[in-house]
Amino acid sequence: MLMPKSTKYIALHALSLVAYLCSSATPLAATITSVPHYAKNFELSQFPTHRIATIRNVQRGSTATHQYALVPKGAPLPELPAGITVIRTPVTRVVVMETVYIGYLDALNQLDTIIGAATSDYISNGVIRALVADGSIQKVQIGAALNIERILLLQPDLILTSVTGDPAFDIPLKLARSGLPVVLTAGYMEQHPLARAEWIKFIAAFFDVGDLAEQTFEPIATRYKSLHETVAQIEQRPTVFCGAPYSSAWHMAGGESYTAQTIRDAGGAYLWADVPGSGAIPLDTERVFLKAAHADIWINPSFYRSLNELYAADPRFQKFHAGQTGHVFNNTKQRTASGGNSIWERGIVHPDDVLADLIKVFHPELMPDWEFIYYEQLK
Amino acid sequence: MSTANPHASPRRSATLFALLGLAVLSVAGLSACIGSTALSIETVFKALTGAPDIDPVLQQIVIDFRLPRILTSILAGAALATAGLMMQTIFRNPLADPFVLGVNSGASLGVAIVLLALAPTGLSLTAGLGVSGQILLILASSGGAAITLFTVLVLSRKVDIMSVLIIGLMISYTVGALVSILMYFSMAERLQSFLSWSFGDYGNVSWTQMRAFAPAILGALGISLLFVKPLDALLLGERYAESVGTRTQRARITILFAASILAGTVTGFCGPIGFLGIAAPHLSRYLFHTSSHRVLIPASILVGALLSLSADFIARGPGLDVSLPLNAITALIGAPVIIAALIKQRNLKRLFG
Repeated sequence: MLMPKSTKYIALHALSLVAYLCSSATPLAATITSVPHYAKNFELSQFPTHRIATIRNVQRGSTATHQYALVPKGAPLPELPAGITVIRTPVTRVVVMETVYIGYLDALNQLDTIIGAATSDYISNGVIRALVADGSIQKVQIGAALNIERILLLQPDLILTSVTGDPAFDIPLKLARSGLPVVLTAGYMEQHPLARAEWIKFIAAFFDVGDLAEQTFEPIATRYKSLHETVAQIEQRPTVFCGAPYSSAWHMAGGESYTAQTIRDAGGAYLWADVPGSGAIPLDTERVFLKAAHADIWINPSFYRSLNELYAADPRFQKFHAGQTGHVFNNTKQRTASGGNSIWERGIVHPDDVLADLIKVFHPELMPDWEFIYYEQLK
Repeated sequence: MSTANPHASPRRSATLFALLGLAVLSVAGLSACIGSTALSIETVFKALTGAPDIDPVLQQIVIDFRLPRILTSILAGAALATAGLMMQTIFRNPLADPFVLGVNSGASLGVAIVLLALAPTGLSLTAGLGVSGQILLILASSGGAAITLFTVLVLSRKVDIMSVLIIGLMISYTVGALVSILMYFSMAERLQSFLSWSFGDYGNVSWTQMRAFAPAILGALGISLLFVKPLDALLLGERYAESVGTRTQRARITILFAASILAGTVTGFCGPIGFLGIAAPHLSRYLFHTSSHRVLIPASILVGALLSLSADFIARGPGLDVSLPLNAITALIGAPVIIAALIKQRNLKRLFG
């Protein structure tokens, strides 16, 4: 699935470029539009005086596209579509509303541009946590309480966030009156791990480090694909289920979700793979037991890190075959005491490491020398 | 005043009790058969008796999932109905429910502290103590309920029963405000989890927890059966009760204590379950045409169990692939029941002195 798509895109891209150059172009600027290989939700268009970043699919069911004009600092404002948000690049004062951006910024060596962060308890990156603790990075949101005045005083030139369509939690609606430069991202709506990682190119555009993003991403994509090749042909796949009930509701990832995709890529047979939906399916323990009582492997059981904790939560978990044989794995190896987890920061930029961990979970004989980075086996 | 009712013959009551008992057993059987997968009655029977040809997965489903759920549902329904009856009697108020003394709010505060404030630090806390998140939740909500009850009882030692009701309400609002503040500073997922708890669920009481749940409920139900005479007297007012020799102060404390144990235990293990506590006593009064607690307490136990089992059965979404929140279904069943009973009754005031 991966190979044909990228060559198809390269071919299409080359063909369209040739066609465009050969046709009688409009007298205005020639553009080069770079369409990412895996990510579906963003595009970057290069004009002589500026760049336009286009994103789509920002939330479930959205058909709107959003555009941002990236104009170099000091340059005069070119002719732009009306109402477009202008961001002066490279940005130097960034507020991150979700912890995932810290992963991208770390890979791009731009951590020192962060001046404000939301929900700082969930940050895993040690450098950023230290800066939050000593006050160099301001906390702009605690829980659902957004401190708009504090953000205004910081005078950021970029605020990165994503939306879910919930007016109680979405940031752009709350900041609409402030005139602050809010940029939406749709990385979380991508279903393929490489697609999410490729968003590093989008983030890099704001810092003028596009080349670094390319250099970082290409080896990751190559390694991911080669790891995927090692399991793609295997017929014998262990049956897998994931999650744990949180206050009696067991939300099982749908067959088209990110989790389902990672399981499939790592050579596992996800028991809910044929249930449509990219969100979570609400079930209860009885329904899950009916389908997964004999499953081989259980991954990502909520926050439990030992079998004792798991059984203490509900003694019936011992009745699952995966629980009895101890084949329970959780991505909590890097979890901090306050709930941060590096898998959602560095792990998003390096899906090849996550894939390697999962292949070791499902097919340990293929990865004898690999040590878990994010996953641990519950003992 | 009450048993002189010509409609309330002992034979009629006996027949009604038998019918109610049969209804409870039927809905329990139906609950055992229908769920994530439909099982026939003989499969259920084979699972219970341990027949050799039963699929072990199905057997586990019946014994570890459905049976405890049915038992919890019966006990919770009985507990809430009896607690509601006692509250309605002691406050002489048809709108009183088991949570009128702020038991629910206290339990919510305990749960809010665990789910919203302590977590995620609370989660590593529990790992260190070796206590699971779920047991912590039970302890927190029961503890919250107990502290609230204790506060109300201490504050209301010197006042009359009407003031106790108002003190309970005020404490309820105060605690509810604290919960709101905690919710305001929480992340979306935590709120989802707290909301999920507040929907109520009978499915979380495992057999090991049943060893704490069942004795607490049965014990408090036993206490309430001992106080039938004081309850009958209190229904006519505390002055009247004193004049016929009831030790009102002692009776009040014990009855409130028993009612709150019942309500607090159910909330602790199952989350806040509304409406059963109001609907079942009213339905019992309507069916049995009496205010005598000798009849009403057993009647409420059976009616409460029946309503509870039915609500749980519907909430589990038979035929659907998803389950519905229990609290919503109890309200959908309870409210029409109350309305119908009141319309048929026509003069509720008569029954409350």
